[in-house]
Amino acid sequence: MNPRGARIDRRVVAGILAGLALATTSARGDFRPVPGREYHETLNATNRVRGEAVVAIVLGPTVEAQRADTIRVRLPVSYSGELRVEVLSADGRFRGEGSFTGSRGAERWVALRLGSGGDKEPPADATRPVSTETLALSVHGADGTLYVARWGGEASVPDDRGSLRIYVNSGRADIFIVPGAAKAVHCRSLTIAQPLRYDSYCDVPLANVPADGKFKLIRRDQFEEQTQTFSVYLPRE
Amino acid sequence: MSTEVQQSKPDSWTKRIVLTVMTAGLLAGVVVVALDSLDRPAGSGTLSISAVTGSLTLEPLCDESVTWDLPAGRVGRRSVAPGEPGYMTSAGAVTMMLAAGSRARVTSPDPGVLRVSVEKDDELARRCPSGAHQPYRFVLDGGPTVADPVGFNYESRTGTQTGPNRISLPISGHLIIGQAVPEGADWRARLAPILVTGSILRRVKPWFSHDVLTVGDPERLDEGSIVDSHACLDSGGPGTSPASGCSAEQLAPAIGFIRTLSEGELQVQMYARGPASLQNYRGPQHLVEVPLSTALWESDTVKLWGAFFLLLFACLEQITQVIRETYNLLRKGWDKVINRVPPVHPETQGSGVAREHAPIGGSKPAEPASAIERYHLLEHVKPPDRKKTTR
Repeated sequence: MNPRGARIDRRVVAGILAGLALATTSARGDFRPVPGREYHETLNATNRVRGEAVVAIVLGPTVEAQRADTIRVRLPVSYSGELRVEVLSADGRFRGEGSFTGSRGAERWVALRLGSGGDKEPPADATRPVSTETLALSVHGADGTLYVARWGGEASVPDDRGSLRIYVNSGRADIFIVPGAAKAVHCRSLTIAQPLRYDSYCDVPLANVPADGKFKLIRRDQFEEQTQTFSVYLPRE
Repeated sequence: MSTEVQQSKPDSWTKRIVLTVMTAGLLAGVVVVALDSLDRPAGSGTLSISAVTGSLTLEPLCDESVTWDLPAGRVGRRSVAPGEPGYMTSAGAVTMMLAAGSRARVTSPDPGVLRVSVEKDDELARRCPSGAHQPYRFVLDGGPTVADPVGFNYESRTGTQTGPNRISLPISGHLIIGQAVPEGADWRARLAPILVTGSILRRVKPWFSHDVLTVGDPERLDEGSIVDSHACLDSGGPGTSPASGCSAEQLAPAIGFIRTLSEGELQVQMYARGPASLQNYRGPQHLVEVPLSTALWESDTVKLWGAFFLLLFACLEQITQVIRETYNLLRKGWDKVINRVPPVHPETQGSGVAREHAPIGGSKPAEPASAIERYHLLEHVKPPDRKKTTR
């Protein structure tokens, strides 16, 4: 009826659509592989020497989820920058490594696609030795902060369910974990003959994670004890 | 008629090909089976492994147990959390009993100090059909200790006032000598109890022999290597349990002893059936074994018979020729001997023949067999009248 009005309507619609698209992108967040440092998995690779007691923090790992090629990582609000993903076996024989860059949107758990399949879901690597005890997943930020990650691409999990599995390199000694002011809990030693990257893991229910995320690790080598503290970023948004 | 012949020709060719292929397959199968058998570990093979090491791990096998009398020291219950009472107990005499389902790690970090960490391994225990009720037990000063679900730590008391400085302990089961140097983890730096030096000797009892021979060169162990008495280091995939490919109930235990050295470290002497495995620092595992072929090649009896048959096959043509010529010679000689025998007198032979073939009453007279017989017969019928002729 009114050709001018119709033109305005089109512009409005186009603007709304563009805004929606931007909003959606921002809400989903967008992390893409860093060119030249895409994720890849290797067997019997030479490992770089690292110096960290807490190797990885994974939420509720399952063998089924470990077979998937999507992982999720819990990032702080407005996180922007690089993420270094590492999948590692306790004996150091298997390693997957890659870097991603981008920024966090509205979702707390950001999905990262392992492999170079782009949007297409890549097939699971047949050589990945899935095991909730001996295969860990670590995601470090650009400043070296270790973030909580989980296997699989499910959108979200209730905050107070499940438990954190903390993979620790104890240097072949007994390890105890103390969440906040709670009692020390004995961590389990792995039964593999030659652990290289880590040799124990501690299960901490999410309900027991202190608000400030601070933990204490106690290493007991026969009759000597040593202590370390570390923090887990897991805010209740 | 001609088409039938044409059809039968391809049939025969097919049969020949099938037979040839079957024969070749059979021979190849026999060769593969023979080679595979020879590559298996010899039952009579033994690996003698001696090493100086900072650590040794012992896992008793099913229905096996190891008991150690240890000098005075302190014992800690590993499940007791730091800060809680009841972790440490001192004892003048400690007896440690280990069974299937337990794992003991022995180290000697300082001179005269022996440390043992004992823990439970449910997976190891599950593999044994009988199942040990208590994988480990401690007796302190004659009285039983309380059980601990995680395990125990033991450390011999430093200073030689209350116990021997150097001790020897028997070992039996699945043994691992040495360990990997762990990566740093922001803990206080300590000397890693790695393997320092050692060697592996292969010994075998050859077939049809009672002697034991040392075969091949000794395998030198590099510093930082890991020796596994049952080659279980690499049996599973990366990160999997080491014993997942090693069935503990089917294994023969490696046996031997350890001795603490005055300067620290442990001297280990053990004997394993093999195959054992050796892993150099962060390298792949390689097997050390005495294959059946070694027991075969080292046997003098087998060598002797082998040489004999080899000679036989190598000179088969010549031997056949020699046998043939010998046979011909013997035959000729025999023929000559036969020909030299003097001929029998015709008369005696003829009369005998005549008597033998004497006509039975009523029957027809026998025909003369030869000219001589006929001659004599004729003479008998018409004897020559000598007088008449002479007249």
